[in-house]
Amino acid sequence: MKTGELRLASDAQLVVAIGRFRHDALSEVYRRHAPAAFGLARRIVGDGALAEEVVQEVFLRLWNQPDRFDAARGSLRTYLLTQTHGRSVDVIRAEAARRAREERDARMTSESSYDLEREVWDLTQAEHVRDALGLLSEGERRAIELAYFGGHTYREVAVLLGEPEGTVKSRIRSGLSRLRDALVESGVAGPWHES
Amino acid sequence: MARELSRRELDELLGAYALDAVNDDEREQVEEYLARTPDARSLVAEYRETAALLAHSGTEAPPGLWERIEQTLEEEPPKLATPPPRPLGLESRRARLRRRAGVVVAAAAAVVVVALLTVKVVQQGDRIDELGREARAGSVLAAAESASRDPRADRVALSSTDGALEARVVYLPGGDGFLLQSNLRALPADRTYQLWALMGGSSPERPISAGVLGPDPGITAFRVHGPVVGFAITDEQSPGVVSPGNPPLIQGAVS
Repeated sequence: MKTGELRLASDAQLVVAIGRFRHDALSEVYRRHAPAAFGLARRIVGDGALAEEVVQEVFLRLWNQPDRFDAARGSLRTYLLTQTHGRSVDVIRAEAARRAREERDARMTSESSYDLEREVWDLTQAEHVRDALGLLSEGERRAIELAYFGGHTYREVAVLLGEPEGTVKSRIRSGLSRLRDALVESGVAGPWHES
Repeated sequence: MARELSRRELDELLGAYALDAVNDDEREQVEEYLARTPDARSLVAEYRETAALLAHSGTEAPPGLWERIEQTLEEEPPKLATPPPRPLGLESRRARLRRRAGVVVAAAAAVVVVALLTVKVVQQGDRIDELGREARAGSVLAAAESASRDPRADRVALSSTDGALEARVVYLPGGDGFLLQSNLRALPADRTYQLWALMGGSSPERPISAGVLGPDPGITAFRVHGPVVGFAITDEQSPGVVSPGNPPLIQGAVS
């Protein structure tokens, strides 16, 4: 695959090229997905420099271990954002980043309009995603928001919301399921599954 | 020592797990559960895909970040003194390339390399042959990726009776199908895995060969027409057999 063709290549083809040590393939993956990864990391860790470290680590991991991406289990974007999320959560749970987290939490609290809808405003499918979010109860939305963007465990979410842990677990799961169903129905998400 | 969670409790944790919102003890138990429960893995994958759609798409990555990443790439792969252990019989094409280039890379022996993206090439042959095979396999990969996202496709999980071996097949209404992924160990050169389509209309179902997979199967395309009700994979004498000579190692039904 020539460099000029990379822009037309599928994500999976790019990962194959990365497996052949093609820097330009990784560069194309970066061009497509780094903004989303950086946006998510910065939202979670609350610090641009830490977010850059997270993104760098995620892309280096793809470079070093392209085989870990499983195209049958989801898109490359999902894979990279899952990696970004996991690493960001590790960062904010580390002692060294506690201050950044406290500052971020304080900032979130001061932003009265902060909610999930603001996180998806510029997605191409934003309207469908907003519609799907509208189907959730306030409890489901808040639990997912605090867990996903806040980087909190469900136990911490339970404390923050003053709800039983079991309730929070159920709300996260039911909320994700309802979101998923709605997004599949609207064509934003694919209905693939393993069996 | 953490309390052992019941299956129901593990199922209830899948949403929180997908959002990285469980503690370390719970994560460990959920991951053990996922390793043996394909349905739970599918569910977690769906939750993660959903969560990714919620993520802010961002505006631009910071200037200079790509350059810093690329500078680091120049230092890769690391040169270490010990040869890489082969992880569970499945070796990535990339690992082969590294070894051929004389670059020895340490790999974690415990890591199970589920080589969906592995482009399988023969162990011998010159570099030109290898790249040609990779190009063709890349096309298969793209087609397999497309098929796996086709809403009309049947996805079939094949597994051994003890659950230790597994593979996945995606099968389109027109008869095209792909073996997507397996954790089957590499066989000796005189053996081969063989994929069978199980045809309905008789009892037991009639197996028809859907392809000889070789001793170390990667993503493989096949075509089979008829009332397919399931798939199975057997271990046979190379170069393959007309009808199964051995019981299936793994099998699964079209749902």
